[in-house]
Amino acid sequence: MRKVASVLMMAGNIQGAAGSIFGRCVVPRKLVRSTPACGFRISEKLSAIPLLRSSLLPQRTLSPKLFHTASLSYLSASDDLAVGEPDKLYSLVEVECRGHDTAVLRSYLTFVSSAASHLNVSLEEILWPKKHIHRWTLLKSVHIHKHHRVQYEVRTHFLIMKFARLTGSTTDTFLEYIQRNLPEGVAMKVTKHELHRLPEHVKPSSEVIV
Amino acid sequence: SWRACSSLRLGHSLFSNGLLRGLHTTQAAHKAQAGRYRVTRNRSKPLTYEMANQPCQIAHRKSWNSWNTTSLYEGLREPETVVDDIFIRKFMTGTWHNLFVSEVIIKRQHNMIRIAGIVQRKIAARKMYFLIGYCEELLSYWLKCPVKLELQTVPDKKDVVYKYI
Repeated sequence: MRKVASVLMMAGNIQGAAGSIFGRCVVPRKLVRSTPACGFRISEKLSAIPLLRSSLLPQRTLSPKLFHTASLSYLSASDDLAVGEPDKLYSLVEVECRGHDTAVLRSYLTFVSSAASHLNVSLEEILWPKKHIHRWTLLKSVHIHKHHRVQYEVRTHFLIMKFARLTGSTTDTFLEYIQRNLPEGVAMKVTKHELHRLPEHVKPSSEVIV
Repeated sequence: SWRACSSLRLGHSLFSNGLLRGLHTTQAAHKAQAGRYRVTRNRSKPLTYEMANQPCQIAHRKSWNSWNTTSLYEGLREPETVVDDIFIRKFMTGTWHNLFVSEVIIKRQHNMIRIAGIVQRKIAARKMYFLIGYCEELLSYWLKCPVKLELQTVPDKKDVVYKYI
């Protein structure tokens, strides 16, 4: 799965209102980091021709100069819709959350469902796939005592939320809001199913009776 | 040196074919002693809630001290995060001399690290603000990401004692 940094569209005036630490922007508003340490990974799987939109971000930037120049370059490389270009349409946006604690996932679900209901985003389906348990056995003692072992396990719980019939700008805004409030220790994977027009050269043959 | 071992002979409870086999157990190796505190004679050892619950109670009555996505299914960068956590804990307990009353809790959200804990009010508030800024600044340079400290204070360390053992 390619890790694609998706550049979200946000109004430019929000950038100035970003919270700052040490007087600098914490995260340029247009960016969404796609490293694992940050808690979520975004993958865009398009059902039609995939649009390559990879702008590889520096993982962590530090000095004010880097922040400002980085954000400027993203402004120029952003994929805001041109005037007159129609918005994208998504038949399905699937959000999969993974975490170690079901209580955390459940509370996040109440947050997301209430946000969706307030913003008129239809949350169609909520799935709780089976948890994944990774178990392994180690020797309990440093030296000998082969018959005494210790077993560890790590459980990963899944939560899938499916939103239907969204536009591109709604999706970007809604996902940005959801991801900003993603709890620590919860990972997110987003799958968007986009609707495209059939290309011009694909036509029903003249023999087909409509 | 011989290890002290006791051998038991078990009867039909273990085997169906009628043969007797011995089970050798050593005294030290079959016990678990991680994260458990020994009871004192006069019940003088104070334990916080975290210390009072053993590691087997994690995810039941306890929660984790560091929250990140590295050990999830298909999580990444686990060993580097562990080493970072060890460094952060040593740094915090060393900078705040004998002031931390709870464990250092490390939460990773997006590209931020949030460090939480309970601190005693032994030093003046101005010194605390300086230490908070110092820790945030230096840790952010070391770990190359924004670091936020979210500390709670408590007047006396007896306020976090859950029980005496």
